[in-house]
Amino acid sequence: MINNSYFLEIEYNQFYKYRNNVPGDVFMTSRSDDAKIITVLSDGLGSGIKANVLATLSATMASQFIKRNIDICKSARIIIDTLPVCNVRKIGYSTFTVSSIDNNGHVRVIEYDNPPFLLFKNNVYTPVDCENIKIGSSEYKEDSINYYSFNTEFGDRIIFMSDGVTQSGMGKDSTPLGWGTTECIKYIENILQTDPEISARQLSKKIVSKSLQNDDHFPHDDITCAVLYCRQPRKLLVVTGPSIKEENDVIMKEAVAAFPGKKIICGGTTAKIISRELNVPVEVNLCSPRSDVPPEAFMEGVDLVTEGILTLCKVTRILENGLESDYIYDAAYKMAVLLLDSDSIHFIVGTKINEVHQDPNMPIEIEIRRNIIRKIMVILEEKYLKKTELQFI
Amino acid sequence: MVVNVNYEEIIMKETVVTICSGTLCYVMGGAALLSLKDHIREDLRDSVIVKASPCLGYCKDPAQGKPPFVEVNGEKIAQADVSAILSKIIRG
Repeated sequence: MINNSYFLEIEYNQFYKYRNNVPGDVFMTSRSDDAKIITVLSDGLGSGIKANVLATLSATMASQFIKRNIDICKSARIIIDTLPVCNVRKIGYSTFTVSSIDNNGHVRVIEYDNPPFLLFKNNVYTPVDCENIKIGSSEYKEDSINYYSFNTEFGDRIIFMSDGVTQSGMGKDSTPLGWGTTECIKYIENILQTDPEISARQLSKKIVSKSLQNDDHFPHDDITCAVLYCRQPRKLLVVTGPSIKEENDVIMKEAVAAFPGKKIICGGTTAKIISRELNVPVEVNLCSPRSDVPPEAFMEGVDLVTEGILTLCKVTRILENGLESDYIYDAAYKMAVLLLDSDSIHFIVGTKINEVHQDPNMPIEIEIRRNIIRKIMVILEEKYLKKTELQFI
Repeated sequence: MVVNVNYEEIIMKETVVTICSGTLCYVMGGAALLSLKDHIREDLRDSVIVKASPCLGYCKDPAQGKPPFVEVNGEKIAQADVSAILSKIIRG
């Protein structure tokens, strides 16, 4: 969370160059000790493993230098000097765009050889003043970086793209020089006018999909787009597990009834308690695809009702490996989607331990609920930069 | 699995089968029971209503037997399989 007025949603999407299994573009996010959010987009020269290694190296270096508040010119010079330069093309083996956003919404962006980032305020493209800073020369050319410093407000979007986006469609009659930044801006403005509250995830997906379409679905280069969106936090409540004290069932019911956001109930016993307290039926969906977790259920006023521990274990795996690692649209996948489509997630966890789960005759080992929830929270905070809270009941 | 059932013995009355989809029942064989309708002859499927339920609670009491648990018209079957459920439907 940037401050009390908005949340910074950061998502990116990517398509690899045709016939490559590894992207040559890398996008990283992290948090510094003084609670700044750091993002880096790096494009390694060429494609494949070599490009990925070089992009990862420059992205990691850039991220660490910014975290430690090292002078930007010095940082850029060190990164450029560390990376080799192509003998033939006379250009560095990697580009980078680093951004740092503090708790007050102040943003600094440093670009080296990447397409310029785009800022949208009130859903309209807004150019940002740039300072071009010369940082010395290498053997082949004079090096410089573009430096930007500006403040963000609620509703702003910052979009970073690799040249796989702006150069998509290059060589076609309709776009001989590629899609280009101008057309890309028009496309994004159209989307924002039609859907002003589109999430960062969906917007980045649309931009890379359009780029892929420009390339007739044979991407000539890795296509990467990251979107940072200063938005109203989307809140989610996850209630799982009965309380050790029955009198707390009312607290659970009140939390579900009053919560101003989406709601997930995770656990059959939990669902029955809330169903009884709210006097609303629970109906299991037999049409759910068969999978290794039980089917989800419907309850009016609740967005998703699932089984408990098996679903939570699978959700952990999906979050660790990414949504694209699993294709079965089962209860666990739906829960993972809801978690990733939220910004601020409040967990209410019942403290009663289900002894039946510890039966040694069970064919699988089952973890204790609160441990799994803690794992999920760590992944959501560290990998996806979500805000989470935990309440035991 | 081949299940031999004499469907001529079945009187076409409505039967409600509730399959527990709680954690223990699901991992102890209940998952396979959710496709129970595939084992019922097509012209008789309309008279059998198959529902799933969150944990029915039988697993908490060892005296109730072993999972997976199923209810046929409210009557519990422990260690349920397709054959046991279909026999119960036929016997009424």
